[in-house]
Amino acid sequence: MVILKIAFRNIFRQKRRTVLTMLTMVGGFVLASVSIAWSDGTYNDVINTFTRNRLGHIQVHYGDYLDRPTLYKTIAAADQVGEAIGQVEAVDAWTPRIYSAGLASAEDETTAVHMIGIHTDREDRTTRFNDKIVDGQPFSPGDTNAVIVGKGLAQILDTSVGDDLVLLSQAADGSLANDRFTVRGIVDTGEAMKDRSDLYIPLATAQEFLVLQDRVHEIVVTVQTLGLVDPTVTVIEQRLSNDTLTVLSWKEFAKDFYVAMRADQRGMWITLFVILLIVAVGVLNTVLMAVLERRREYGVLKALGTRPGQIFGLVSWEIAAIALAAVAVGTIVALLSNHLLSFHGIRLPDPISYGGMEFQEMRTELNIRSFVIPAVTVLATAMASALCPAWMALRTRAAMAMRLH
Amino acid sequence: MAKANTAVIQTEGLTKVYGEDRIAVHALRGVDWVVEPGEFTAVVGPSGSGKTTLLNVVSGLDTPTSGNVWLKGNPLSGMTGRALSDFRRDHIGFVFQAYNLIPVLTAAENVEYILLLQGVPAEERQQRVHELLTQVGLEGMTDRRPPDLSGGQQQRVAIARAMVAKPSLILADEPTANLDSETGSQLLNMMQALNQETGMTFVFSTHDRMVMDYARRLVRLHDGQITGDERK
Amino acid sequence: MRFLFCILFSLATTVAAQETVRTNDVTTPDQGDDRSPPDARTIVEIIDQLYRSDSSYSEVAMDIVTPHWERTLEMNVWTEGTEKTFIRILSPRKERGMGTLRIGREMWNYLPKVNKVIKIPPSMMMSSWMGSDFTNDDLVKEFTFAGDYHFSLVQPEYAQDGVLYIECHPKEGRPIIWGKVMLAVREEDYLPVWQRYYDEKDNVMRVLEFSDIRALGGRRLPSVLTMIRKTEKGHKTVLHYKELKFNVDVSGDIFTLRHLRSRL
Repeated sequence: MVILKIAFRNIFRQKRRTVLTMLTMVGGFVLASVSIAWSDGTYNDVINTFTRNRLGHIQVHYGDYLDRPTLYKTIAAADQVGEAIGQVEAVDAWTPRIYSAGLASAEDETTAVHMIGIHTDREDRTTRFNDKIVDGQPFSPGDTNAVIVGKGLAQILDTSVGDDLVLLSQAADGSLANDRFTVRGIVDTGEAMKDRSDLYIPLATAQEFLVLQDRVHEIVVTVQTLGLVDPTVTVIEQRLSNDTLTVLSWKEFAKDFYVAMRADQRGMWITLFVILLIVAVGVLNTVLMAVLERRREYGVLKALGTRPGQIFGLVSWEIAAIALAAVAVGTIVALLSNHLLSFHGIRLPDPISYGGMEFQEMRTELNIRSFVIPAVTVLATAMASALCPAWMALRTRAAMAMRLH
Repeated sequence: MAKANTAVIQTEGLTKVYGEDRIAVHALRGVDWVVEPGEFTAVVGPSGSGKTTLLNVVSGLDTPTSGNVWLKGNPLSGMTGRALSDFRRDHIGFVFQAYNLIPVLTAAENVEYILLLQGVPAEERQQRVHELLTQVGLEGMTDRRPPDLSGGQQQRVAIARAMVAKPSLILADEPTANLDSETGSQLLNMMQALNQETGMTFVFSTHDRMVMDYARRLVRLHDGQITGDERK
Repeated sequence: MRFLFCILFSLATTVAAQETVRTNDVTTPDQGDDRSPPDARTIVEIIDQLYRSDSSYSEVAMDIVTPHWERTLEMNVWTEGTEKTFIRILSPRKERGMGTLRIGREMWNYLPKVNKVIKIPPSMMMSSWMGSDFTNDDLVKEFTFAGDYHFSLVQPEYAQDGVLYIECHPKEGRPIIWGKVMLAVREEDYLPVWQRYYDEKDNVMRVLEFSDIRALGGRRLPSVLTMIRKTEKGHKTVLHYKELKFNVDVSGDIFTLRHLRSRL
């Protein structure tokens, strides 16, 4: 198409101007891409740290356990439910848990504790529990009367690895569960508040202690990537096909956190908007100048029988070509910088604290989004900025234009 | 309102006013004009007499304030921008005073442009372009771009382009104004020859004596009115 | 709440108080037209002293009903003054031998299975005692309606013939969690019918019902007390006094940790 040919050749008429326009777009693209990748990288880092640490990506409970927990809202035949979840393709790991309040008594000190029954090896596979043990040993399969206590709790009870503890709680049959346990390890989960009350016992022991048979209160699930969480929730719901069980994603069971993260992400859109404003101004400037300079040319083209739409197209194609080239160059540059920053994150002078965890290094995440969004927005902004000049070009009155010598 | 006659151009009570009220400029004041096929006519008059305006209005590049234009019997009033474009593409060839050509296209491409718009097949395009550029004496320069051509050569390309689609009418607005007299006369000779060979209608606007000498009909325009119409 | 304390571990405070009770006991059957009009103070003092004496020994069965399980604890209870309580659980088998010792505001539980005495930390005082609808705190509180509440006779909408109603509001500065307590007593002998405990927003939080009046320890007393928590659907605890003796011999080492730790 001859219009395309002219448009394309026009690009090279004012090389410096074209290059400057393109640089504006490339700069905008790369900036947008890096900031999205960065935002996503940090976002995912924070979420992963947050969810993988304890909560998991998906949780399964009986009914409204999460809102109104009681000892009796349990998932029956927990093993079968867990196995069914484990068979879902995107699922990385799952682990069952039991929660109960109780009283722990060491030599002289007695305090209220939050008892958590955890699977001796699934818990570690799901939340890297064993990595957080700062003293003593993790549970080993077949462990019975062993406990791992939170760091703060160990201080409150003035107990250390190898000491004995007596636990007292009310079992599901109403009886007063009490038994003697040995402190196997001390754990520092990074959540100091919880570590002052949390006490872990092997799941099987907890089930026997609390007379819960094969029941648990919670199944925590992690999936391969954050993006798979929502579809996996649906798949798990279908597989379980059990109305009494509630399957929730972290966005729901950690709603406050999710909302905070969302608010954080909104900052990204503001950045993007500013970048695109710069691109828009740059493009508008170039195109407006070109159109004003070439009014006579458009007049000639009109006189020769070029349709108004074709003249509009001529201007638009020129910008589209520049924008496409800018996106191509930008993609390469952004790919390089995002890739680099995904390995060598930028270390912050002061760590940021988020949800009780600290983050010192900000890394980018290589994802499609961080290229598609800038590409679409740079192209759209460029074309939108070209609209007005293009309209002016098509409205050029050949008669008037011809007079300007 | 179609006029069933053979006239290439017919105008009736054509007026054109630029601006409004006290600063209004009356470029045309009731022009009734007929151009028959095969004419080689010059519209002459001093600067500001309305020559260019007349040509613009006649070709649909500008709209009259009142009055009507028929081109080959077709009324221009009521045509959409797109229909006017197509009409010009198929029926009128233009040669302007200067800066006629699309600077980013070669001589051949400039000539080919209208054929491309018309959707003429490639083979025919090549042939016609070559034929016309030869006819205007530019073989061997077909791949040059306008900046690499002299003023006269550029006008030749413009003429070739104006003629390539075999229009019924060629409008030339001061085609020799920026040329030296020798180049100008060469160009006029060429156009005269083409007029005689092909029977194509040529209408010029000019205040160049030489053009008037070549013209077979002189239409004099003064203050937007026809004040004289002589045929040689 | 203090009432519960009275129920389980009736204590005598003063001889004078007992006199009041006895006087009342004597006058109650004497129902005649010439009876003086009911006086709120007299009634709350009767209620306050109903189960109290210098010391006591009782055999109690506690039925605990929840939507998830029902069970009955049988226990022996010794009290001395307002300060000391000792409870030993006899059945069911799983809990047999468990004990609770209270001296003043301190409490210990004994767990025979692990041979361990656990001192109840202050943070656990509001927790359930042995899974019942009574809290540990209920065993410790020592409030009296006469001393710690403003009280007056009222005539609520739901008033029934033969029943008197007393509205009690805690006095300023008392660590009492209730906004209001309503007492219903029989007009004929001032024995309690029920007590309703309200929160600050005037919602009924729990109801203690009295029934099955019989002779216990030489007094006429309701022998069955039912605690219903309105905040927990389907939960109630029913106390049956099978045996109640006032002013028994509690010399020796009943109220000691050593005794608590001894096996049955």
